[in-house]
Amino acid sequence: MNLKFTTINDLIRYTSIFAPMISIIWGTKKQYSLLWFYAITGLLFDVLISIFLIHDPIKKPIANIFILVEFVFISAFYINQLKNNKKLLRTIAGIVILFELITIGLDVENNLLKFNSITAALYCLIYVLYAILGFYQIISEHRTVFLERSSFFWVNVSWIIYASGVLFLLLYDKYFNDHNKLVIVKLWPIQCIFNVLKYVFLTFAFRAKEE
Amino acid sequence: MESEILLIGIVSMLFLALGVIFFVVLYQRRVIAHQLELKTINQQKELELIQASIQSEEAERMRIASELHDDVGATLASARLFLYKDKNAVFDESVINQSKELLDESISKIRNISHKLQPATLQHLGLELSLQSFIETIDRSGKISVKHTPVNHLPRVAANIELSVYRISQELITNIIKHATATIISVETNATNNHISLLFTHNGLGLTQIEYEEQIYKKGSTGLKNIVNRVKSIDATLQFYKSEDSSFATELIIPISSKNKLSNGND
Repeated sequence: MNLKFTTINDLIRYTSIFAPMISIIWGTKKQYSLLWFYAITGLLFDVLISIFLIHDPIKKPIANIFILVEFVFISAFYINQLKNNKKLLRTIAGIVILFELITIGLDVENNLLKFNSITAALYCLIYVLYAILGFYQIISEHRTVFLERSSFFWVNVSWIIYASGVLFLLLYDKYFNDHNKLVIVKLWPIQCIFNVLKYVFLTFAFRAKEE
Repeated sequence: MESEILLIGIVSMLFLALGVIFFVVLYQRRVIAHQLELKTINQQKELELIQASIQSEEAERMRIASELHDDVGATLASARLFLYKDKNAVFDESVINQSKELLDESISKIRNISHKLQPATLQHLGLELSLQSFIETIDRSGKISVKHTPVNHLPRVAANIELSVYRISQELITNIIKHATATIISVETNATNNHISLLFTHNGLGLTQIEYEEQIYKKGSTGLKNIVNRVKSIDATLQFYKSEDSSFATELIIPISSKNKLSNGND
């Protein structure tokens, strides 16, 4: 039973690691877009993390760098896409990045070596906000008639589903790591499932023909 | 227990996210439905306008046909009868004179029909003088007082614009006489570099903009629908309103590009 559990978990984990491949291959139409490069970056970091899976001192800094890189990619994408409040979005993204760099700078050794799940959760909240603003733009512009054909709609779906799904996991990651690590081990495949879903929706976004 | 709380949190957030997506999709569908509805209404309106245009064209053809058949045809038939009555009478001067009179009458009737179809004054003298002539004809009838006030001289513009403006003016004045029970009509013409404007004011019971828009959607109202068609064809705007002194006014504004302008009004 335990073996079966491990096998399913491994299957989910490996699917999650290679999920960006779906977007990279199927998204060749938007080959040089920001999100396509994000998918490549995601794949590289996921492979790196899986290589150093048991070496926490290497794996955790890589994960920390990835969540920052991911935030930069997504913020750049949304600042570019959202026509209104560009200045406000730039300011929010700037403050958040600056805040993280300062907190890392204050205690480099500890902050880099531990997975910064609180910051990752904060980023997820911002992704939800970005996605809601994206949806608001779609419905206020009245330009998109068929949503399923809108690339931007699928990007928003991708981020709102992913960020909402993993928000609580990241928020309680530190607590359960300190008190009951088994809960996180048991529930971490959920993050992998949402990661796969994220790349599937991103693939829809890449495949969508703009109206 | 702890993992269940975490799972509840995840599921709740996921439901919220799905709720947002569901709302967006539903809202967008409503917008599409609304747009389709508007499109159908517009298409229906377009169809009504086309039908009105066809109806009016057919009515005009019928009128010309009946005038040609009943009036000109009858006069020419009489002339023919005179000329063929008696081969010997051909040289009778009275018969020739009567035939001549009938032929002159026919020519005059044909000229009248032709004038109604395309006013000769419009082509030769331009919009302002044609309007003036039309207004004077109505004023001379004595049934209603119609005055023309030219603020600026109207420039000569493309023939299709002049004809449309002339026809719209004819229809508007005819409508006022028919439906508004007015006793005084004032027509003010004005021109700037970019547009020509005509202001029709009367002391009868006229239309407001809302009433006008309601009328053009109603069945019938062929005259108004023709006005709408003509206004559209020259990219003009037509505004109906009630003035402060309780008189009703209709303002027709026609944009004039340099391409359509043929000369200044003073030429």
